[in-house]
Amino acid sequence: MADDRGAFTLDVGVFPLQRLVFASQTHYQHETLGINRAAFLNVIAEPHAIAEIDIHLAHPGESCRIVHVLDAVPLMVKVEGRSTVFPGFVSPAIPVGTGRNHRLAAATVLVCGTFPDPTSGALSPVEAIIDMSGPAAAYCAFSDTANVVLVCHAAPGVTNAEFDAALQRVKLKAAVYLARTTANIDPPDLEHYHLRAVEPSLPRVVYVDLLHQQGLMAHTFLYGQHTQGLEPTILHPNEMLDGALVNGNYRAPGRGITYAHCQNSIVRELYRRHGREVNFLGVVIGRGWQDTQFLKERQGWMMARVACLLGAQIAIVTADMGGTGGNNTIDFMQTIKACEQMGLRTVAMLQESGNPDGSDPTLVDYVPEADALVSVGGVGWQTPAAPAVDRVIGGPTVRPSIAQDPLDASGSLQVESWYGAIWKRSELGLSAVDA
Amino acid sequence: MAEPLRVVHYINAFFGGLGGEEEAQTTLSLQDGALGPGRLLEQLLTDEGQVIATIMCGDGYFSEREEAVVTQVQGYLRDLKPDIFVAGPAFRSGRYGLACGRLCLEAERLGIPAVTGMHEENPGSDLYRPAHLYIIRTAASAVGMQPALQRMAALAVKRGRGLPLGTAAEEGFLPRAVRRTVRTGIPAAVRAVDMVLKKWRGETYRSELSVETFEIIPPPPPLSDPRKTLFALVTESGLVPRGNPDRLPAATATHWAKYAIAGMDRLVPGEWDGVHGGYDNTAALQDPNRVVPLDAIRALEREGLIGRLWDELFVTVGNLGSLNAMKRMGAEIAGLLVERGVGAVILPAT
Repeated sequence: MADDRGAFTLDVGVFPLQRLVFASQTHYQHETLGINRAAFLNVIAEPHAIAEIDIHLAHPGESCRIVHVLDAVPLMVKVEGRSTVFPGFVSPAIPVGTGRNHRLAAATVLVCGTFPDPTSGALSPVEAIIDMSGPAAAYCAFSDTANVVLVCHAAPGVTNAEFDAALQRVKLKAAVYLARTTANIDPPDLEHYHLRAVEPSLPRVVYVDLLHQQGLMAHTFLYGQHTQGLEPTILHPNEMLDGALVNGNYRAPGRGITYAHCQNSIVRELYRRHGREVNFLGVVIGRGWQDTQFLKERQGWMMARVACLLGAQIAIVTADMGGTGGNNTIDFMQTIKACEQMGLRTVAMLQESGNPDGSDPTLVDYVPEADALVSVGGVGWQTPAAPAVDRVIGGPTVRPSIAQDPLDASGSLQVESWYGAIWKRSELGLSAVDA
Repeated sequence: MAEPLRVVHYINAFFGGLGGEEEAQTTLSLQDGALGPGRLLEQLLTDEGQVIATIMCGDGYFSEREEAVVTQVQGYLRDLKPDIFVAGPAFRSGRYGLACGRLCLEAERLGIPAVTGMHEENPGSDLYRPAHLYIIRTAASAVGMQPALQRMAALAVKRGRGLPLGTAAEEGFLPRAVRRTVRTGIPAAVRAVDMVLKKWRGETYRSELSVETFEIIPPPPPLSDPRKTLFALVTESGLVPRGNPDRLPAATATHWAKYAIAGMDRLVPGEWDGVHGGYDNTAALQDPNRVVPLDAIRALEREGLIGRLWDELFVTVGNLGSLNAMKRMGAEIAGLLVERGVGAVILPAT
């Protein structure tokens, strides 16, 4: 009998969720998740690094603003199979991508916080805001999900690094604990993920993603370890669905979300077309935001090399799930160039940036091989002003720019600090045109 | 019905009907009403517009006396106060295209909306599209006169009346280095897979972003005598005195600041902050001289290898900088340095 323990076959039971409530028991029923606050806190506590965790619930349509957002995590748990979801954090770093998961649809754990020690430069968090209603909500990821918001306050004397490590554990334990309420319930909907053998004439496609990794505040974790020295490697798409990549990047409010790694839109689209139009081989990941021109060029070639060794004929390239920006545009372009020069037909997806009227070049680097680009639109061009809100979660003020004094978090805002905006724009189908 | 728009049209002498050897040297002239292709333009404008005057010039005359011609045309436009300025179309004629582009730019500077037409390989297109001019895409030669003028007239009416414009593709103008966010209704991942499959099959696809190439900035010639030259330090590293007194931002800066460095042998750690959001500034804060090498420049000054160092450090933040803002700030800083007699700038890469 064949041994299928390396088969990467994953079933995901999906449970609808309409409502979050505090309750005497942590319990899922009738599309409602009741949360026993004390029991929940007991599970997620990290007393050495986090003095206090405030728990708030936020639903779509509420006059509510969530500030200092650091990450969003899907509510999921592995109910069958080796390892756990979020391997390396919730369990030892045992390969995932097999077994059965349960996931609560349209729900997240959001983690918010302020770091205890001063930060500056590239390794400092940038303001990120979610409006649950109003005109800006359309441009915020997670304005349309039910959110369990954990506002974490650092314990006296902890360092930023210790606080951050605790934040990873808090959010992931919370997501698993809440999803475990479904462990013994038959899911109404079961998704099946397996890259079955397909007609050999279909073009062989890889998804290529450069991860944002520069240091503390700009981490992307793979199996519980940051990716600072990572050489390009391969992921089965099921490993992404299982939370092999966890976000610890707070540099750009528009990007870097654990939820988006787990629900990566290109992975889902290639899965959807696998066996019909494409032969989806897998995912190539590597560190973007390399430190020198030499390393940026080298990384481009190393990414393309791994894609070629996998047997790919086609590559779809992103950086940080569709965000790039700043110096990583060079890494991104070098990756496109190397893929094309190694014979892969390549399309790359990216957001554009530039000044508010769009009259500046929207990319800081370009190679002639980048002849097939998909844009998810530009920052700063379209988000309407957000009116004052009744309730703020996460803190009394926001500071979108260090060049400005902090603003009243409940007041009306004209900012571009919306959380997950690039992912949201890509899902909404925004693009940009010459005008 | 609104009043017809008052249109001033620019053509070269060839299209004005002056053939022969001498047409290129035809002097600048102004005459009432439409002439040459202007007659067709006026027909296509229907009741929406009227060509009140035609400016004509030989291409050779224009290129040899560009600034003088421009001054005269500015005078015509100030007197005539048209609602819209139309030039050409120039098709692939290089000198004609350069004249049309320059005059449209001048009209825009006077607040008069301008429209021209060129083939995309016309050098006038390369030069003036980055200035955000509206240049209707035309055929290479005058066989494309009718469709070119049709689109130019339509765009002229919209611009003259201040009506909203469609995209470059919809209106038929060449990309003019302006981008706008739009809704496609299709998620980006779906569009990406669709596009790559088309590319794979060798079918026609359209990149959503064709990138403009950047201006090449040649290195300046070497200094004739560094020992007699006044130097200045300029940085986009965001290195600022502790507390960031001028509130420079972490990214997309639109202003710069200057700080006294007179009498300083080196930048003292603890007295400086790094506000630039694009690099890990740990090493910079430990020793600010590693992003702004004041210590090394003072050594060169002491050894007499360079002249004096100017007493102020000029600072901005390069991170995600807007090219237009950077050009403006660079010019502002350079202007001040020239006034102070500075002959060389050290701009360390961050």
